[in-house]
Amino acid sequence: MSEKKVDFFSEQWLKKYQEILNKNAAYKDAAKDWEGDFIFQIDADGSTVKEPARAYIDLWHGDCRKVALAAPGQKAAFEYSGPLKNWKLLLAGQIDPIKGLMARKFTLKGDMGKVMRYTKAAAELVATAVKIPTKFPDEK
Amino acid sequence: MVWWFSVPKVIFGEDALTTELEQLSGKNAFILTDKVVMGFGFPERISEILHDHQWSVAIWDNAEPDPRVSSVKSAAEAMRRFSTDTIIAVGGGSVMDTAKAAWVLYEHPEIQLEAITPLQPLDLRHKARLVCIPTTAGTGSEATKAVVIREDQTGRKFATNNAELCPDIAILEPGFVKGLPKELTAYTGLDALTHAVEAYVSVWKNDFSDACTLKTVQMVFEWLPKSVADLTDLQAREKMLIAADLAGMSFSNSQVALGHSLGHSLGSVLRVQHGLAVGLSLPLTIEYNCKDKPETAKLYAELAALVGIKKADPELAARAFAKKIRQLQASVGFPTSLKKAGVSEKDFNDGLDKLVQYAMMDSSITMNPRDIDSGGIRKMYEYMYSGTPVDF
Repeated sequence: MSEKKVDFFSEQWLKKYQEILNKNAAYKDAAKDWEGDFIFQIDADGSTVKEPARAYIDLWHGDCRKVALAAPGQKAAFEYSGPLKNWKLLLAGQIDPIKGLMARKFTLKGDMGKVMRYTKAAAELVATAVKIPTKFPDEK
Repeated sequence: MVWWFSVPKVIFGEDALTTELEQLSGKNAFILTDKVVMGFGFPERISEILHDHQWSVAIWDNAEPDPRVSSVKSAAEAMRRFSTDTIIAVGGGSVMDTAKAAWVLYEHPEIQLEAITPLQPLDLRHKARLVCIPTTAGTGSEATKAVVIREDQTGRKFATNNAELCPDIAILEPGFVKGLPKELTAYTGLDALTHAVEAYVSVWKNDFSDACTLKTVQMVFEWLPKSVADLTDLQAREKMLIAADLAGMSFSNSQVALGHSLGHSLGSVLRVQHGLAVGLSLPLTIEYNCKDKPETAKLYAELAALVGIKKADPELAARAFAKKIRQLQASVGFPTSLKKAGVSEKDFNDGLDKLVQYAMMDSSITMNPRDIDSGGIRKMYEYMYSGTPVDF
């Protein structure tokens, strides 16, 4: 029987993400020197996503220390954002997280040079999200 | 997904240099080169042509191998003093990379080189444009948006790219590579082959870069042995120059992979020459990537078919291709292991942790078709040191 889908960027989804990420040996290996928290944002599109949906993820030396829903003005070292349709493609493995930035499918605020030194860790962050059976806001 | 294929205007063939320089518009040409290339008289020759067409010319010949940030800053300052409107880089990869990075600082002194990524605009070409004239046939930097610079403090090489770093003009003058010694001809030729092969299996590969790779592989196998066997064979030199340029176009638009992550780290930690470092990595990465990855093995098999290898099993074809590359290397006097390349066991063991750390930080690793962790990278280096084919 397939696992029940979890609402994208809900508290339950984020806890699941933290749990899987903290068991991801490849991520731990690639991010063992990483220090920096992220806000991931689904941009408002005026229809399905009325207000930006934001998630806070604290990443420290290969561990995911904290996850939470993020308030509109909340800051983090990095902010990675894009519209829902691109998040769906990302989680379907059809967009590479870095290539997605170059193709303007996503935007990144923060020290981009630092992110480029940890592209392998970035790929594992996405690979972890792919493992969660996700229900997107436009799904019934 | 939307993508771009960026290449410079390329001039090649008889009288390429004179023909293009005579048409060039501008006032102040800054020729950036190194002492070795100065010794061959190429910058002087360019200067004479430009003087005949009313240009002011400055020659800066302080480029260093594996350029450090401090060296790049010196070049940028010299560009500023001369009110440069045209930068002409004459040399190998280090010279062209120095020119690209100094160009950025000349236009925007506030930019931190370490912060250059493919992701943000650099806003170049307000003060100057860039002309590249390679004197080695391998780097392909004259056709790429890539740049590799070394941190002063740590010695770590950081490779990055940005579409705006693609030169405006690349002049392929075969006469400028005829002085290349045998060893460097072999090293740089293997660099070109590595660019082409890695671009073909990169996760960012595309049809345009594939086309460049297919021609490059054919040309390198045909012309590199001739180029090394007879240093006066100008036709072979020109063909290798074109092959390197095509390989540059290929990887610049699709990226390199694990071989370059291993190679950049070898250059940073043990100061192994770039072409030697990536050339040694190439057959090992093919053997690693084709294992249990039928789609990747099939890509290598396509390249193998170009050099006469026909096997029904793609993985066997890929492994035969790696063997064929080793045969090519042997035929041009290329070492088959880090040990045979002169790296002492003590230096290797002392540097191994750093080698692994820097390779993991190299962005090319993400482009590799098969995942690898730090333990796998350590094993790759150990196999490379002894020259053992990869079996894991």
